[in-house]
Amino acid sequence: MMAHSTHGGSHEERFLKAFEEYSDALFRHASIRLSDRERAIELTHDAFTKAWSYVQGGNEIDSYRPFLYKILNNLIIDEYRKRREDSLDAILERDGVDEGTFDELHHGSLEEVVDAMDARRALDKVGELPDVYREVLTLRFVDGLGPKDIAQLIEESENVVSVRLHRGLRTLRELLERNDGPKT
Amino acid sequence: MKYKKQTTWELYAKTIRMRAAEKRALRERVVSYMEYHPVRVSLREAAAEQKPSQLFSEPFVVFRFSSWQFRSFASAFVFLFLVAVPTYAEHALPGDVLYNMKVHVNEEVKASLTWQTSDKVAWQATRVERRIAEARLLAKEGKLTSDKEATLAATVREHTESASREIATLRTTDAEGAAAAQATLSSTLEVQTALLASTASTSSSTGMASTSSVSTLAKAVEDAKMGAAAHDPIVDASLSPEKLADILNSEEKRARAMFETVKGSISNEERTDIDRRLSDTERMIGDTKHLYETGEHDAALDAQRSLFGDIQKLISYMSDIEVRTSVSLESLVPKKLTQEENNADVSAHLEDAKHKVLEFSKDEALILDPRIKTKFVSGEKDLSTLISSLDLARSENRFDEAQQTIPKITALIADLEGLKTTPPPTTEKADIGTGDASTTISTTTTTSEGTSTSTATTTKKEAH
Repeated sequence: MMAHSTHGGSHEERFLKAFEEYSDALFRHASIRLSDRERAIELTHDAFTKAWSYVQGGNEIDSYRPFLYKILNNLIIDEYRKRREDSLDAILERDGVDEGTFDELHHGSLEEVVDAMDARRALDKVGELPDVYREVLTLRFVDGLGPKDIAQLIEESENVVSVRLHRGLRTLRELLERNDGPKT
Repeated sequence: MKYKKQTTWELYAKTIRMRAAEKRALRERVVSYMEYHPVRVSLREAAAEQKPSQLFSEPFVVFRFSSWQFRSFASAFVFLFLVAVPTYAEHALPGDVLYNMKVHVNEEVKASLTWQTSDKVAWQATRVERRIAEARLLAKEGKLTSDKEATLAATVREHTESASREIATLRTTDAEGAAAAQATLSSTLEVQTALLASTASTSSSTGMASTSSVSTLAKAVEDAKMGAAAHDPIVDASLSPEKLADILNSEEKRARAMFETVKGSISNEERTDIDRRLSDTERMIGDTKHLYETGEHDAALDAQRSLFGDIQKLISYMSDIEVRTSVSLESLVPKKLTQEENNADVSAHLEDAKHKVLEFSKDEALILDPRIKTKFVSGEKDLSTLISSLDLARSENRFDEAQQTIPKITALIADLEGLKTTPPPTTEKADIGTGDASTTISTTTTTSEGTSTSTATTTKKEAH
């Protein structure tokens, strides 16, 4: 016997539909954040089983997409805690990023900046950024979430999200230029 | 929620995806997780239908638990039902309250947690071992009633049937693995038959009436053994000798590794015995290769099967102290003589037999009773025939055949020895003589046809 969700269809059907719709996107997100395919598959698996445990415990999930992203994001953060990566500040200091430059970032749209970069190289380099940047950049430019959704997801204010996006892009561009030699 | 325009990143990232096989595997894992954790329908729907007012209207005293109290109660329950009771049930014997839990819950759960078919077969074989161990324990305590024995026999049948089903499934994907699994099952059953036989003999020698019978169970195991030993010639033809050889080699290594671990805790004699079997096995593995090379596919396959079984029996012998204390290794895995040993053994028997022939020809004159004398002479003739066939087998290195002839010769010699000391008969009955000798001679007189009569004799003797 199957339990029926208030959203129509059994819990199982809704859940499997969510799997079909979002498993690739979640894997892609995890893959860029972790730069590790195998772990990305594992965390995608864990995200779905955790979501199912929630449903199994008698809860209803209204919208699967943000719910799954939220779980996955927490799993990735846990993964980073395990890896004990360098603190963000340390990296910023070491790289000597001077806030207040890259004025174009404040005036032009961020998408233009993103589109101006070579996507393959940029996404490779995203893996070298501190995860606080990687998190927002991936959510925004790979998963296509709006700043408000990201803010809810990572439980920060929209302002913080916006600052991280700017700083993240700036650091990324610097990394790319360091490899290429400065662009004119 | 979707961001209005796709960035180049988003477009590029679409190329990062799971391979179809990865996605399928992931989906299977998620689905099986869902199957193991089904939504608790009844609880939830009942809760949803119940209006809040109903919760408080009943005239019952409401006990309020603080959340930590509830948690500690809940965890105590969980511990009790998921850990303590099943653990305790593991020691249950037929007739105990928790026995059904052990067989139908604990063991079934374990069965459902094994994924590989070969592991499933191994687990069913272990379950047979557990049933036999229970029967032996009950028999030892004098508590094995016929009811309990019948239940155990039925359960043994269930276990072996499900093992056979798994083997049949495995055959479709991994014929060599299936052959190995089948040999494992057969050898387990063989070891268990030997154990049961020892139980039967101990209980009958101690004269415990209530425990004397494990015959129903022995019959069930015997039936299962016959079933497990049957194989399909079509499947056999498709088996790859190389893969089977690989499996054999790895099993032999496993046996050696086990020998290293038990070495310190067994007697010197056992150590020598096991060591001997291990080197026999190694040698025989080489021999099977030779059989394949000479094109004797079926013989090689049979040899590999029996070797596989021998290794499993050896492992059981090493790993199970019960087996070690109640069954002799020689009865489980007889020594495999090398060519030299065979030669020496056969030659020694041949010498003895020839010596006896000389002795008997002298004795012949001393027998006065003409009827006994006729029988004796006929027996002597049989003996000479057997000796020459043994000699031939030895000279052609057909040692298997030679080893089969030796017991026939021994039996015939014993018969003739008996006959020559038989006192002259005074009545018709005395003609029958004593012991086995009588049987031989009466047959010999009627047919007087060398080999076939003495074969009949031997069969009778072996049956004793």
